[in-house]
Amino acid sequence: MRRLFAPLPLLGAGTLALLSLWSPPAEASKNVFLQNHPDLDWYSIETEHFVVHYPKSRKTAEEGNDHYLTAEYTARKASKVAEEMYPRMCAEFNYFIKEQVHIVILDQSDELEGFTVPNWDWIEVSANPGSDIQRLRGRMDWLYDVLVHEYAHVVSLKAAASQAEGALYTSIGGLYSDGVRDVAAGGDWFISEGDPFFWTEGGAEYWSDESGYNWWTPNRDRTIRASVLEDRLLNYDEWTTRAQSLDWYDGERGYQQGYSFALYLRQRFGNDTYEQFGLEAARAWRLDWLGVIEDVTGVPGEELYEDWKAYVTEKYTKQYAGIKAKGEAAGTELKTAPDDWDFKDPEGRDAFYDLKWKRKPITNEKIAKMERERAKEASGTYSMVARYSDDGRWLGSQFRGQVAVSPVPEDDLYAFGTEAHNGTAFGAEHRSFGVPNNFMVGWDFVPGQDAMVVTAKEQSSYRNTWQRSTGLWVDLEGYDWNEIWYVPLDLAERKERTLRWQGQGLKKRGPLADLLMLPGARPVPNTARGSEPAMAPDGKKMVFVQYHDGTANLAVINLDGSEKRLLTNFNDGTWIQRCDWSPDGKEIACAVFRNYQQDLYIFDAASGAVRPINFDRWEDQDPHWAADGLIYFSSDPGGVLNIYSVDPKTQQVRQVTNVIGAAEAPSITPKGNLIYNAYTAHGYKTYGLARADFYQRDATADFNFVYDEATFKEYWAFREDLSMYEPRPYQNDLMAPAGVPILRFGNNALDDFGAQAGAQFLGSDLIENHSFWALGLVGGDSIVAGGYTNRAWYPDLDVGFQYGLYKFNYGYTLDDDQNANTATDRTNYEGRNSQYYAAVFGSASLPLNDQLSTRLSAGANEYGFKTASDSEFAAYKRALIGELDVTFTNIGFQSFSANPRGGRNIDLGYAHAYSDIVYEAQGGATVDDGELLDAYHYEQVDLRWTEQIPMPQWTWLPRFLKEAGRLRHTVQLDVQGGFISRNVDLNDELRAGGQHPAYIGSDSLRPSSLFAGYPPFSLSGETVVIGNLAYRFPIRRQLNWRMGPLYVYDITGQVQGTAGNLWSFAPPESPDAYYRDGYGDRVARNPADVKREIPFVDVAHKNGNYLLYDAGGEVRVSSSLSSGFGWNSFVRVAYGFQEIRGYGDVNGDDLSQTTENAVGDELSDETELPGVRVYVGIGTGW
Amino acid sequence: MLVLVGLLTLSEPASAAGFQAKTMRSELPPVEVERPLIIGRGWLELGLGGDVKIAREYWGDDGTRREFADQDGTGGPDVTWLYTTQRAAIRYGIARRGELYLTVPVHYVRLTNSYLGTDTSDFGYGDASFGWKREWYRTDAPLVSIISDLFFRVGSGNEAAGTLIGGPNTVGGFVMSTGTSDLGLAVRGKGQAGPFAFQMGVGYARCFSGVSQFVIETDGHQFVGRFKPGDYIKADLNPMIQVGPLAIGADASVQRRFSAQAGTTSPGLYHDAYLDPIAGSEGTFVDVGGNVVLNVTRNLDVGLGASVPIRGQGLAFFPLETISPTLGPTYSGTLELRY
Repeated sequence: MRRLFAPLPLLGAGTLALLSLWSPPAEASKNVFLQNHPDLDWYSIETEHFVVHYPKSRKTAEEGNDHYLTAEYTARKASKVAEEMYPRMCAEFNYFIKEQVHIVILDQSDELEGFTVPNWDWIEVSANPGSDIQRLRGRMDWLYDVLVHEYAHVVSLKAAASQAEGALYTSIGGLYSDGVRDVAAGGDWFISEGDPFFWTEGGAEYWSDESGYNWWTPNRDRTIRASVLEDRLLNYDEWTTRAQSLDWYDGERGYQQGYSFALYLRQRFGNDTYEQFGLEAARAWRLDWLGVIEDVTGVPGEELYEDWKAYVTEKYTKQYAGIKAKGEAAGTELKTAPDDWDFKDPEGRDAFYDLKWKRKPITNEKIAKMERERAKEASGTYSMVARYSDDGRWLGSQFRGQVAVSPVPEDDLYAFGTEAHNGTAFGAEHRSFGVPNNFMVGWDFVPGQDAMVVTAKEQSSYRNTWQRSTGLWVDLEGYDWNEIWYVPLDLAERKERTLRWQGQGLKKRGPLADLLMLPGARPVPNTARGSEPAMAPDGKKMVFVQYHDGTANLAVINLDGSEKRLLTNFNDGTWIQRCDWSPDGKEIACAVFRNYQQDLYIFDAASGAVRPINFDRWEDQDPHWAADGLIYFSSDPGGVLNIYSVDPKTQQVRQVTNVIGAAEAPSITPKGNLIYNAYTAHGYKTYGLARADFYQRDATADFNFVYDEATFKEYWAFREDLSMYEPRPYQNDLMAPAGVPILRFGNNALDDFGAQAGAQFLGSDLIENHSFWALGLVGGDSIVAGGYTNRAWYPDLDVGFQYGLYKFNYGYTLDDDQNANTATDRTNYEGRNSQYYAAVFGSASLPLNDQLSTRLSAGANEYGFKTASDSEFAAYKRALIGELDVTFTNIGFQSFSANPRGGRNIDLGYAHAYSDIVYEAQGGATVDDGELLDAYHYEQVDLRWTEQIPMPQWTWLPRFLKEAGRLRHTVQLDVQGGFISRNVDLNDELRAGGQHPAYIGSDSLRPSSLFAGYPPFSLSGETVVIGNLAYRFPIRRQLNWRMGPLYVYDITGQVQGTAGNLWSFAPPESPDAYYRDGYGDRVARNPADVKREIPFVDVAHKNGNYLLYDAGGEVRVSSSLSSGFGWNSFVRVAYGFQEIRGYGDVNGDDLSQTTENAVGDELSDETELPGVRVYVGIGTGW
Repeated sequence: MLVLVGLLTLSEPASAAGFQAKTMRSELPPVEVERPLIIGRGWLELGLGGDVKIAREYWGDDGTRREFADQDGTGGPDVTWLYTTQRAAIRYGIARRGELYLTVPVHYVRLTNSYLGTDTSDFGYGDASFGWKREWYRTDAPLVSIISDLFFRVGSGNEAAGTLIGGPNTVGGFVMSTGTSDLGLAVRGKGQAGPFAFQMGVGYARCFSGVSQFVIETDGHQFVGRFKPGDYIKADLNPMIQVGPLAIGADASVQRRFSAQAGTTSPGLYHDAYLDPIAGSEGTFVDVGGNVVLNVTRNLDVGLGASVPIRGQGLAFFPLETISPTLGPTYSGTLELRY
């Protein structure tokens, strides 16, 4: 007779799945620290309604700290801003928040940050506004912009919440697993508030406006104006989610559409309409939030949307007609040849595209529009800050984090040339290449040299391709500040690749970071946190903007890093945006935001003496001092950002462009033409306007040049008194507690249906130095677990525990004569076991950089069970394990993507473990693979390597392969390898078999499709080699289909196959070499007779096969539920080609056969036949 | 341990700033008589309580009271059955009109027989219950509150009685769980008139079957069998008067339990086809009692109560008090902490 109790293969599996339930909102998933910063102390400023926390380095710059920082000024100012806005914002909802809200000021990086988790009474903002906020919003009033916006979220989301704040959301789900029908079906549903994107973000903009801290700036108007005129607005469905519906700029478009809609409703229904939406939603939870619109206004939401759209369309069409009547002066995109579809008006453009796509033929208007937008965005999207080198040889343009530099003569450009190129791609002499430069930040050519200065990152920018692909470098502190780099162009020219100047402009980007690794490229010393370099005409000095504590200052430095001089010494939030030298090299023009005023100024390069060019209410920016002596800049008199020129001597202003979108960042070419950023609804484009076509309207009267010298001096010298905001040391304040109630239904393949209820909590102090989690579930399976993480030092230190009580049913068939051919003597028996599992664990995790991390861990566990005939639990096994893991990922951010595109994910682990079988009923030992096992040590090595390979579009490929690349097809290679150094108990063996995400969690980077054709956990052994090859293809991209609270983004298909096996140890065959124990199992007299199976040489006796194969396919639906939560679903069908043997209930019918098998070992007589397995997950991920 | 020491040296003591009362939290009346049947939004209540039941009698299968035998001649029953429950109960006001709750019990039980000289005791995990209450109607001052209660009981507790070899009489421990789950729905209402309040409720529970370790199935030659407790209907009445911070109430409840079933598992999704009713497993139980609750603050209540059974029946499921209550008074005490 076989053993009467089932082995314990599933211990912990359910727990792991439950732990993966912790899937906090996107906002909450961020961490303050990309990596730890143990060199910082934290301080707090407490006001009546807020506590502001900020970092400060322990060692100063004078003490040799290269990364000295403090955000004290920003924190003091934030305290003032917060208390100022409190009564106004709370009054918007008549919801005066009693609890103090904590504001964490970040200053460890140079990137913009601003988000909140209202449940935690927690706002996080960066002191540094980063590089793109001015392009987005047009004004550098950063703290008022970000803090008021985030606090608007806090007030509105609290006031609009139907659920209590202690619950981040409620999780309901479960898994049904049927081993007879070979089906595993699961579902997960997160009950959340469902506030739509346009209301949440547009509302925060609007309430900032209503409370007096924001207004409909020209940049906001630009975003919506262009979107209306170019038929690019998010539709009623699209604006409910944060998804980028058509790619470019839809996030910002969603913000401003929501804001514009609120302004429209204000006119039509009154100031508080948006507030009323929230208050109505708070009355009771509803499946579809959008119903509140009709409940409040009496008009269905979609009808209101169409009304608003008609309103803005009429408004902007009239405005455009007015501009056209006066004469549009926009030029055209800097390309080598005109395209037929060049923007003239929406009808003309669409007519071209309709023809193009109807030839495909694509008759679906939605798809045709999407394809049009993609084609338009392919041309120069994010192309900005363009300029020519003084000698006219090089054209450079900021392009998605690089400067694309191309040797294109001005005359070869369609915009300027008298002889337009014939429209085909340029030859090799025109090839461009990219030099890393931070997104949207200025750069410059070095006069008199084939070289440039760019704004790069001290760590990540100059990692070469090899380093980026292996992650092999160490950056323990995690600082990656801006830094000015000098890059010779001749070196770059030798490395030309990837970027090409083609018929439609710049098309691709590539891994060109290693350009900065070449000899000759070097950082300019003493430029940490510097950006926006501008070279003096002498080619030796440069001016740049240096950041510190929410403030920008102006510095002049030699290219070798010597003779650095600060021209300003602000510490009050002043922001300097862009500078340029006068042709004689004596003066510098800059855009400066200071004390609520944004104007152009001229600094004396030697003394730092300053005088304003103008002093008015326009958002003046992007000064460029051209060789003709005029300062060209962008400003917004008339409501549209256009290029103007001002003569600094006569103060005469001329309007140079007259556009409907926006014209920014001007630069005059050596031949006197204008190149500038043109804002379109499908991207920033680099446009050119020939000098002969300059608009040349006298606009002197639009600007104010008159100011009182004394008043200006007072204004310039003004320092706000913030001394009343006194800091104290940070006290590890805790976030407001919040958790996730959980309800689970399901079985575990062998059990009856059951339910579990409980909750999971995640807590932390406000700067996330200390965090803890706890999970408690009660039911047929009950679990309590918890852990603590300390991030106050270089490695993250974790400790935790888990204790579970589980129950499961089992059955077996007793065969009296042990003869498989006689059935009448068989009797089915039912059984039920209770189990426990207890574990403690601890680890130290050290991120080496943003791709590579290591973890050293140790743990101990024990489990045992209680059968129906036991009154107490009996321990079965105790184990100790120590493990070292190395993880590399360069696509971690795509974890939940249906179609990860490119990159790799590698987990490599080594463990040393000790197991001791202590089950007294078996004499404290067990038999596995014919060996009597009691206590033993073993080593284990595991490898999981997942490679995502986008189908290439190389020109030499056959057309169908190139088409696959264009359609975003992806090849996925997933390999699992493992080796255990000796024969071990079944419960220590490596496992494989079909996985449902409800068991293992959802993560595209560790796919669950390995051996999907075989039952879960059915395959085991001490050596594993499995490879899975999948081919993935979008079925519908950007479907953007909404039904109530469900919003579907993409549908993706995948076909896949797995090959491999798990090999173990084989019992001895010779009767002289073994005896049989009480269960009839063979036991080797000499353990050395238990032979290790050799992979790919031996048949794996446990499953009876040399190799195993499966093939299958799946469909993934990428969607969100209730306007935000990822709610991804799938159906997978897989066919396992081999019949397999194994332990216990192999065929999944809940009955284990005790008939002696033909082989005469401890395995079951049952087999699982080749067949189809089906997996369904609704909201579980894939 | 070294790791813990290391962590402690790296940490400053944490402050509890995050635990301030939040604006969203509903008003909670200070006294019991004015409180609705769900806890307000944002309130978290931890109830620590215990029951002690002492039985020296038992119900006959015909519903008559019977004392345990006096075989040792001491003038009283030889047998004393002590059944205690210690529970942690969590209530959370998840929404303005919604409450989630969860109760986790543990039991200490003891059976002494002075005649046989046996004294057997056990301690273990019981069956947890949880549910969702939804308030459908509410007025304040005076209060009217009408709710529904969707509840589950899960077979989480200890269900292995011990050795099978000697049969049911040789158990080495006490079963504290049916090993099965219930799903039920109840409706409750509370009305207030000045210092008086009256509360009543009625509910029905469907009890699901399950393989249970304590069910020793002999007909089908199984080690363990499938068991389905009888479904039940339960109703109760609770008048109350508030005197200052003290709420004084009375309880009366009646429960009708239908026939239990046992057998072996049938194939397929529905496993009950082979179950047979157990004769004598249905009956009616009536309890009455009283309680006092001291509303110390909004954050703290202390309660005491007692109840006695006045009608019952022996259903032969000893010691499963949840489906076959013994005959004896129950004394209870609770401490409710709210945040």
